[in-house]
Amino acid sequence: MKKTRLFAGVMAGALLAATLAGCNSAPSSASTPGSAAASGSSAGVVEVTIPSYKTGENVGAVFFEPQVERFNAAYEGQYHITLESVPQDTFLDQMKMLAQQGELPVLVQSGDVDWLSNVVYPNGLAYDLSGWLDEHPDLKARLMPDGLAFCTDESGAVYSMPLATVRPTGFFWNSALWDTQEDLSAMTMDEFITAMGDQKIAFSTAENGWVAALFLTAAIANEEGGIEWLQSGVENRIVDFSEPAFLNAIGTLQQLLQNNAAPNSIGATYADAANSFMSNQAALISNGPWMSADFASTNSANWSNGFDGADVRAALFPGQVGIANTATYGEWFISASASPEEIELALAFLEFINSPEEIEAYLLAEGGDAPGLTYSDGFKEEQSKTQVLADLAADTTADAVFVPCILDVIPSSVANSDFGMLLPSLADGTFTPEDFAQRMTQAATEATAE
Amino acid sequence: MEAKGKRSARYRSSRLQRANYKWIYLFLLPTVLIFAMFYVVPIVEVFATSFTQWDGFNAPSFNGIRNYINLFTSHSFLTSLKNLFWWCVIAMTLHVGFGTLVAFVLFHRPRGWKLTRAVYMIPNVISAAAWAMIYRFIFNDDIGILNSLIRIFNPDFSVDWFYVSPWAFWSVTFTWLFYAVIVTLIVLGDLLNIPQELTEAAHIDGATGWQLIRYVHLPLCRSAIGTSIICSLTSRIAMYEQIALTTAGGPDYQTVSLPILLVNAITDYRYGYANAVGVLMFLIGLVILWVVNRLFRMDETDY
Repeated sequence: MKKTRLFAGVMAGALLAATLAGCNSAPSSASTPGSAAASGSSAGVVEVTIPSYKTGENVGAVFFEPQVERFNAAYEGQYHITLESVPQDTFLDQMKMLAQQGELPVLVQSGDVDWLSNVVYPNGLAYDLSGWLDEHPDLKARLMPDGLAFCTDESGAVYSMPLATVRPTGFFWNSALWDTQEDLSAMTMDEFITAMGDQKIAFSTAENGWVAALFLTAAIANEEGGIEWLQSGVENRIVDFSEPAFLNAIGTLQQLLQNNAAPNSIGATYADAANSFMSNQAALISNGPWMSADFASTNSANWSNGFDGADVRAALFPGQVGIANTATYGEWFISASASPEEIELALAFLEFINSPEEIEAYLLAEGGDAPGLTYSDGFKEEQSKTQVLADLAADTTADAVFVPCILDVIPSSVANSDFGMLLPSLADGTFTPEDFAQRMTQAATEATAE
Repeated sequence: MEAKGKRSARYRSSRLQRANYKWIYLFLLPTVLIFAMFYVVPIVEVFATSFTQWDGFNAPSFNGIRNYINLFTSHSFLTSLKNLFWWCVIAMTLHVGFGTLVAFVLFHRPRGWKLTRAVYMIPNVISAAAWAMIYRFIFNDDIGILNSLIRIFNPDFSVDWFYVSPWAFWSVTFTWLFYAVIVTLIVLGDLLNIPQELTEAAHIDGATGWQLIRYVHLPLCRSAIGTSIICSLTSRIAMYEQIALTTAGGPDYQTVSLPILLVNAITDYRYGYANAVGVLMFLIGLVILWVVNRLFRMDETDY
């Protein structure tokens, strides 16, 4: 009997211990990057693990992973960064969770504006870069003034590393389907639509309606007062869509959706739209310069129906409008809880990726412009070899106008859900532009109700 | 003397039970702890924070019933309630009805019934998200199999099923409507448990096939059908993937659901509002549980 009781007691204890062991919050070196266990030093080398979505199959990995390797090589024996792969869809959620647990990694790759401005910075989770930037005037001069001003708070602190590059989004067209010789970005929106005739545009309306949102942004920017209206949303999210510029632009978008949309546009995700363009079913698509990689011959496995990436040309939108928000937070911030050695490593990394050589390498890989950098001759020569990047660079003159994308200046849930959800009814004529605007206003008002 | 002996036996039994209580409690402790940590605490937290304005990180601030007022004055919320009501009606009738019908067919063990049961099970091992993607291709206007078939007879036919009113609602409904294998298995289990004597007695009394189903088998499956309805309706309350991956709630909120609103609120860092949606989902689930329990007298035994 005693043995039975002893056995039962041991089993019950083991069960309890096993149950509670699963609830143990002790960090493991593999799962809590940036923690003491995940970062350390061996033989004088400061090592950190940072989570990143620009790894593996992610399109950003093509440039970012080799860049980290170049950093490790440049600082061999001093610093070493190991990347931990995190899917892009869940990356921000994971960062939010780590922030709640006080376990942010040493270097944090981006975050949405609301989270950064309402949670991270006010709660002292980020390291102030202002002193370091002042000590590096050359680097500071390469940063975009708008971005630096946006990242500098009222006390002069700079928590987010301001951007040195801007990647204005325009559109691509397939010259094999639409062999126009005109300067498209110099046209007005009306002239552009007339010139386009019945050429098809690869729209996406599912997910957040990305491609449709880009054309809508361009249409707004081409309306009187549209640029100011879009830029007003950078500071305070737009919740009133009764602005005439928006109403007229929605009319333009409706016209394009009804007359120029590729057959699969309604309900198309971005991948569907890209597939439509790269299979010669549509002559135009809008996306950022990073899409240039899709038109390289190394990506020809994704082409069909005789599509040839060499035929693709690019331009900013009519009115020389490029979609880019220069007044925004940068891609990186440093965790305030990092040790002095880890902060030194993080600062060295930020300096490295903002060096002239790395900026030029980045622009060659993913396109864009660095207004604060004087380009080397080698860079100019290399850039001219990629047709679409050269096209965009030619359009990005002092007369170019940059505006934020409409999706970045409206409440997040409206951008990610309501906008795409309402587009099919606009396309099939169920909604007038006024109906659409009224629904957007209603959704934005509900999303911001306190 | 005999009565005293019985009382003594009862006393001895009771003492033995009491002696075992500590072991019972000890073995129950892990389960109780898990239940408390992963169910009770989050539910209490959801209820408490639904009365606050909370961004999920900073301390929540009490705002009374403001979140609930915002909810009940929200067009999308009221539309989602309407959608839920109709999906529940469809689930109770067509979905559970179809699953029950299949169970009755399988109960009579027609030729190939085991193979049919196995094949009918297959969709259940495919995730809702995967089904949603499959249905996006089935209902695709351009390359979908449905429109391709219709165009054999009408070459000009063109309907974007997921994106045009009123078809979007029915297209989303089709992503789950006929996958009722859980219903079938639950009802079939009850049918197989009906004592053979009852069926034989009904036959002797001259009951026809339909009368046997109507007056004997169906009433005896009452609890199983009630359980199926509860399972089906609670799935409708929590329905997210099928909508998020197809219509995202559109067009014009015609397929919006409570979980879609909950996720949207989290996207906007409105955790208090999101938890108010969660509380209402919880309460709707409880009401459904209570109503179905009462309607189907599920606490009564048949044998």
